[in-house]
Amino acid sequence: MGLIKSDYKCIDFNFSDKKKANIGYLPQVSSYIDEKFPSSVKEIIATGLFANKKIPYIINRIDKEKIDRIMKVFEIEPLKNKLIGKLSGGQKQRVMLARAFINEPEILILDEPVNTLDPLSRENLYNLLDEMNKKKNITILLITHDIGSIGKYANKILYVDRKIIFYGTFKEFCQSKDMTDYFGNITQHLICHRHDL
Amino acid sequence: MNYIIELIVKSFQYTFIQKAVLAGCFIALSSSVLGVFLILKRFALIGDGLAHVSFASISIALMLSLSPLFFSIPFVIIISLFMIYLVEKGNIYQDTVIGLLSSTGIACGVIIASISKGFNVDIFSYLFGSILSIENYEVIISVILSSLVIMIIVILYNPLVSLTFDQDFAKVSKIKVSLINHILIILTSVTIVIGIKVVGTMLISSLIIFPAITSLQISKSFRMTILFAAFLSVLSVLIGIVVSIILDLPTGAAIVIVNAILFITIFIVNKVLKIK
Repeated sequence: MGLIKSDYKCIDFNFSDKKKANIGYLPQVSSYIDEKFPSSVKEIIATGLFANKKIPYIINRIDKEKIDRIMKVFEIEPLKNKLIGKLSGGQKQRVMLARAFINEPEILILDEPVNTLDPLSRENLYNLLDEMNKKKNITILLITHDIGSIGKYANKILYVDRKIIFYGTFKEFCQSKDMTDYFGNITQHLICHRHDL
Repeated sequence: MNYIIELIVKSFQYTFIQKAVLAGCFIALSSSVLGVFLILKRFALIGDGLAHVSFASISIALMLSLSPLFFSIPFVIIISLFMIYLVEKGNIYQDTVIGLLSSTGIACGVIIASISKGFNVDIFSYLFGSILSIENYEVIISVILSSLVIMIIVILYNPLVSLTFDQDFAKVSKIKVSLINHILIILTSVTIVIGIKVVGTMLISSLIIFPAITSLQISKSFRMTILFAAFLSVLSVLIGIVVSIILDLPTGAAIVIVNAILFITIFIVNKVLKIK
């Protein structure tokens, strides 16, 4: 994404055509949303459209329709004229997701999306992402500490603690000796048992 | 009351008042619009810092018998870019950098003023503004440069909103964040220098901060914040000039006090009526 300089040369995406990947990005909410920021939900979602535009980044009628459509998908239409700082954690996260989704990305990168969410909003968010992944065929790369509930939704898990500890499906994760050594028997059982495997 | 209205009507027939209103309104517009972005980027005090730097540049210009306006614009732009460099590459916090350059600017200005005793121009007018004595060429430059600043902000409005809200996301959206940040600082430098004529180096940051912060109290969208800040800034200049004529007060200080009253009024109205 070009936010930090990488030591490695590149990450390859396997796309059928040679065009540049359209990446959606959801940064950590707690780190950047200014409670006093004066933008409405509608204005914030519009900023998601600028990646494919050039100066002066005009929002046209088609864009406005896109904004209305994405708000419907994420069920945030009633919030469209509300200030971003006045929303709850779950609502903010939906708005940020709508902003990341509006450009119809092929890959969506989410950085700790459930950090500030209560359990119900967290499950709602995971379900929404699951739906996007299956219906719209979007590759989702989600970074989280929420090992307890992500397993139910993730196709593949890469467990990193300074180095790669595990890579595979959730089922393999539960049977992995590396993970048993890492978590201990009881914790691994608790993580995996919750999902009735 | 009739006497006051007559006085105002009569005053506005004088060319020097008309010039003050024209230049004052344009400068107020550009500084208030810039102010919204600077405040939200936590860079509000850059106005103060650059104003103090421009005090040094004005002293140098007066010592060398150059035009303070023409000399200060490039001087302050260069220092502002140096400021950004110190923040980005020098690993120093931006408020600290503003503090450093602000005091250095004042110190240089005072030393130069004391060395070159006998300036033809009253340094006091640069400290606290002298909009009623604005020259024709200064009006023209103020109007042209303010219009240019406003025009550039209008063109860059959408990417500016995006990067002010979320710099990382703006970078991912391929917005040239660093370039636009530099443009914002250059526009601020230009506005500060031309604004010195209105309220002076000591008070110029109020033209940047007050209308924006007052508008932020009640605005319900970014666009409304910008438009309301612009309206408040023009209103404060007009009322400030009128009040200073009626009560025979320094115009620059009167404009700042009007801004302060507008802020307190809207702050209280918002607390009572819960507009936002």
